[in-house]
Amino acid sequence: MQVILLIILLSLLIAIGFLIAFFWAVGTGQYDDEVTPAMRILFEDTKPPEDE
Amino acid sequence: MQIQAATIVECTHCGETCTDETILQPGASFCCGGCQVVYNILADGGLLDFYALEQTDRHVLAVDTADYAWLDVPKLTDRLINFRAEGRRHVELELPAIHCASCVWLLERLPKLTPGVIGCRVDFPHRKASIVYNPDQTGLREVATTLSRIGYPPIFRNTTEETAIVDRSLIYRIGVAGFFFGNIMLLSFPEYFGWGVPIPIPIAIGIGIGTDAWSMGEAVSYLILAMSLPVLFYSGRSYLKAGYYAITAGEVTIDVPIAIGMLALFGRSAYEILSGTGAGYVDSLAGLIFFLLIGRWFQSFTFSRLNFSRDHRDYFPVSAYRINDRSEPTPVASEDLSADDVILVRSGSLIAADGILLNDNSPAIDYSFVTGEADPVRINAGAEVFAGGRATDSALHIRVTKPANHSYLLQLWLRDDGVENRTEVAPPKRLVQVFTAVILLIAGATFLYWYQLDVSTAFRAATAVLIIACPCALALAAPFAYGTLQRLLAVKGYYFRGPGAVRDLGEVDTFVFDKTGTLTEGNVGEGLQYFGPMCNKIEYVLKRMAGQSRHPKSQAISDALNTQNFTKPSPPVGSITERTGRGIQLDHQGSNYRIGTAAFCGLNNTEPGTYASVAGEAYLKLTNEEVRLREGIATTLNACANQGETWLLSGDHEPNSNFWSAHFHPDRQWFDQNPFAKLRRIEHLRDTGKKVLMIGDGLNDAGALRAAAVGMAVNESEAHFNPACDVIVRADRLAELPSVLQIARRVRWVLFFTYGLAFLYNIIGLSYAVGGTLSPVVAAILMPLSSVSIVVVACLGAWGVVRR
Repeated sequence: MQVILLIILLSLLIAIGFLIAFFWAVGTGQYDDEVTPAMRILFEDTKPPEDE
Repeated sequence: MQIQAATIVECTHCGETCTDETILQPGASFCCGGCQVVYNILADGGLLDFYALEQTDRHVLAVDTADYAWLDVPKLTDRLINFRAEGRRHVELELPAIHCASCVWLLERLPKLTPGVIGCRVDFPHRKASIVYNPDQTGLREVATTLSRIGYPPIFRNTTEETAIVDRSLIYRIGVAGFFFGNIMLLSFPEYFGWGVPIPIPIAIGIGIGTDAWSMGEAVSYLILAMSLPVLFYSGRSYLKAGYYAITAGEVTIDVPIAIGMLALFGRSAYEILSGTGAGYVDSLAGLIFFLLIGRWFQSFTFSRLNFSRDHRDYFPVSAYRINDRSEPTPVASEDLSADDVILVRSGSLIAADGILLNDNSPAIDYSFVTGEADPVRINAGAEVFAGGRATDSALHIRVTKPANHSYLLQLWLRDDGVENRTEVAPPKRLVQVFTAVILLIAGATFLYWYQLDVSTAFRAATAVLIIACPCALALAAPFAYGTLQRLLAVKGYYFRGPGAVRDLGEVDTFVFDKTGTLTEGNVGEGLQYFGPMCNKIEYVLKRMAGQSRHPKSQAISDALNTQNFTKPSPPVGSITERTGRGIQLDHQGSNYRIGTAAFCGLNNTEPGTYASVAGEAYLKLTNEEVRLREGIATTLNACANQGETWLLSGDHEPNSNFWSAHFHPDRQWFDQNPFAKLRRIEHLRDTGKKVLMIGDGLNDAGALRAAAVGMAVNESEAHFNPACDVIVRADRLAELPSVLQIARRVRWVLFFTYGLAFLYNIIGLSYAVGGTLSPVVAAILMPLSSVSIVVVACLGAWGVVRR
């Protein structure tokens, strides 16, 4: 049963990794503008003139 | 290019029906030259896909020809450039015209329009674009000019941006609290269901801790305690600090009982876990801090595209033309102007610094935005002129007397009037004081009662009282109720600076209205009298002519000619010639158009007034020049008068007619008030115990707006300049003020109800606590339940109040 404790500690360690990832994402400004990326993804790529 | 008679043709660019004349070019047709210019810029850049994008809101991109010559002076642009490297410059420009997805598409393809631009990324919510360009190929001036030619004129501010360091600490603290809250809750589960019985197992060998004395349950509870440390000392630090400061200042704020509750929770849990007597309430502690922080985050919401704290310096021009020694006008930064510099202010531009006028032709200066005076004033040579005035009919030569940052109007902002920060809302002070006293009394009584029987039970019961009575729900009710209201009222066109401003509006009992621009739409002519048949083409030309002049009569004609056909970009009608004090004229397609006095228009034997004529024939006359209230304002004023005192506070001269007495008590009308007098009037009202709502629009009201309990700035459009204030309201929505007031007042009932609910939860919890039987499970259920239900009730209640 004591292995559960080990697993708890390991999972906590992994989870803290995600917490650090969250800090990084916020710190680099990825949540500062939540609107524009959603618009940008819907734009068609411009075709090169030769295709027309 | 050819011009042909009107048929039903849609403009390729703006999508409107071309009514007057259509400009054709292969594959496209335009309603005016402005649209054609923009289309051709896009065509040259290979960006015609722009027109294929789905457009819910067709573009009317006006051609703007602002003067960006000063952007060529390196010294002026230094502070605009965020980052520089070999061949790269990064700038962030504010583009208020951004309004839809197509704008983002077009702007991000800026590199195709301007050689030398390396990249452009748009931040839609803040209406900003980050642009990277190569200084060897292009300059800031070219970039700004291109942007303004395609319809996004950048605006530049005098104030250096201090927002570069974004405060994200609240998000971090919420992240930490939420993370540990979840994990602690998970690890506490066995405890809730009674599985926490010590299983005699040695601790994992891998960690190398002694194997004998520890049980699984104990090990987990130590882990939980360790996880509570960052929650308490990182996430919850601000509450502990605020509580400490309040106590040392001899005050009782909501932070005091919160800090006491947090410390009781932590102390009790640490004692139980370390002494091995129980599992503690660590999950409740983490949950409490998490919910409190969520409440704070909900309150910190702002409208990113609006600015509530604008400085007057943002209104004044960034640069001026210096013409010392009769040299060529050179652009310099306004802040670099010193006394005795001579500056040139072009017609239509703002004066950058206080000074003495050198012109001989006694030009008119429009101070309407800075002083509230509706009519431009004629100034003679040698008289003083003030920064912020606008040159109307001719260019001005001014000898600067004071540096720009010492100008007369600056003093309005330099005053420290002790206006407190109104963004956060706390429950009423009195309520908190009584609450804290009662809780401490109950805790003391409980302790004394149990002390006679058993010391440890006495401690348990007393700490349980402090824990369960922690006013989380009390602290959350107001932020969520007012915060919800803030968001819902934005839909009605009322943008509040923060939840606190909504609360203050509900307490207002005195209403002070600015006149020009707030109640009236300027001194415009009510109507036009025609002398012959109306002609679309003439109307069109006259509208454009009148629009070029800043004289109030011209403006009035321009406004009165406001019909639907005229919402297009400027057509090429040519430039007007303005004759000071007489009128304006234009030769267009062989006809002579004139707007001005009867004599100027070539009309004899007619009554005096303002006329427009075409080739010497009278076309129309401006009639009934009286103040015109905004639509629906008369009813609004009556409704406000029923709810409190209404005052009129105007920078204008007292009119001869008693027009205003129909709306305001004769003793409650103030005229000829300069910005400082306005400020003093509001301060006087405030000192007599009134809660003042000041409603104004211009810089002249800025001091008054700040001194009032609630300052409401009326704004024609979101992109317009507005002085610092608590509420920004769209001009066409001002008539709804009474209903907004009603809402702000009624929401108090929602708060009373939620406070009642919070006390009900407290009574239930206290009945457990006083008896010394508060188990961790009860606390872990009751505390989040009360917080969540209070939040739900507060939000739904606020929503219900708006819907009614």
